[in-house]
Amino acid sequence: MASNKITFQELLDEFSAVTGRTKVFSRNFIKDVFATIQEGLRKDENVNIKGLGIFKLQEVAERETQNPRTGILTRIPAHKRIVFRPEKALREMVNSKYEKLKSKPIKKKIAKNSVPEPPPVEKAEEKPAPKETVLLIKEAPAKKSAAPKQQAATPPPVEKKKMPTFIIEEKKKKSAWRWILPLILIILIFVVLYIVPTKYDSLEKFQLRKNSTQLNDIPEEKSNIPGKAAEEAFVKAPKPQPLAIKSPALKSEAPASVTADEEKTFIHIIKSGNTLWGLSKHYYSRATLWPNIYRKNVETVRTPDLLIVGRALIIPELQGDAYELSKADSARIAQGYYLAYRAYKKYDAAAAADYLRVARQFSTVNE
Amino acid sequence: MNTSELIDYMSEKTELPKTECRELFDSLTSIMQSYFDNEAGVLIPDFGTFNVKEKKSRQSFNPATGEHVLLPRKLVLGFTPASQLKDDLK
Repeated sequence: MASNKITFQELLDEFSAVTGRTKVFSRNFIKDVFATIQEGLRKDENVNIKGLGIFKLQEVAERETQNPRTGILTRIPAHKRIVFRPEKALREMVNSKYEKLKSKPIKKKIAKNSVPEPPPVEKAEEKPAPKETVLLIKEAPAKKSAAPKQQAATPPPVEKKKMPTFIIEEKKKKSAWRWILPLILIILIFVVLYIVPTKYDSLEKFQLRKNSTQLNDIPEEKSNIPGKAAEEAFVKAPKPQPLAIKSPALKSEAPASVTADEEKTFIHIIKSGNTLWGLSKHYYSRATLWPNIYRKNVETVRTPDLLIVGRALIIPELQGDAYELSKADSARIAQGYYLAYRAYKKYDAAAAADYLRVARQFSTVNE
Repeated sequence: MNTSELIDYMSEKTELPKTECRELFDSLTSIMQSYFDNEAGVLIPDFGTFNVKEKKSRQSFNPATGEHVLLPRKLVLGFTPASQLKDDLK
């Protein structure tokens, strides 16, 4: 690094001392030299000076830059840049300190890189058993020393030789881990299974309080549920209990909405990626009937676009065919569309009007 | 423009013979070179700064031969133009 910088004054002093001229003359002379270089650059765009090097003007095209702090785009107009390339003799003179350093091919470097790489890979495989990795690594160098010739000549073969010893020993250790890993997994599954039902228990209690008046309906619902639960791949073991208690919530809406012949329902636990549209397609094989699901879950879902993973959805069954709706079904769907209209009205009244129109369609089908 | 043209200009300006001008000029460049040799930079007002920098060693790759090469560290003479010079030649 050039830590020290000579000032113009020092240059002047030395120049006048060497040439024996006055300082005023030497100042003017040096300034004139560089002024003429500047002139030459302006004229020819290229000044070649013996003892220093080449000064050049280089065209720089117009470009845009963005200030990262303010985000403002500014245009840098095309301009010329001054480039200085010292002549070869000067370059060599400047670099005389490191003259002896020569560029080396990096074959050795690659070899160095390749040697440290393998250990981490093997460590990753053996992470569960850190003690054993230490043993293995100790053993590996022993093998290395056994075959020093090959190591010197061709590094890759050495690695190949190493690998088998690792694998054999890993197999022994892995056999133990094969037992322990599944055990851990099973324990985890049990824990999850335990936590999920307890969550629903709390939900149940909450809704029980709400719907304590309508508890009479529960037995009927219960009779429906087990069969459906078995049908649905989505529904898992712990859920039948929650179903029973959720259903009263439905019932509380149902009487108000449609003159219900008993609606059969089952529970779907919302998974990531589920949409009402998609669920409707899955269960009814007709996506446009999604408001029927929404209708049953207005209180928990609120906005039809926002389903919360892990929550339970009550899915009412259609009484008739999805494409030849029974009167009761289409009335319910009309009501569902109306509820969707009310939900969307908050955001965009004009767009929500479509739902109202569809709701009317479904209700007129009924008549 | 080359050195001889520069010296022609200088002899016109200083009203000195060209040989003398060349001597003066050579002594100037040799003084500057001696600075650079000692890893010192020179600041010339209204023109710019010559400075010596050390570049770190780096790996490079020759795409034609596929060779990876480790270039050693080296000292490099650089030039930073003064803002007046930049603006003048824009």
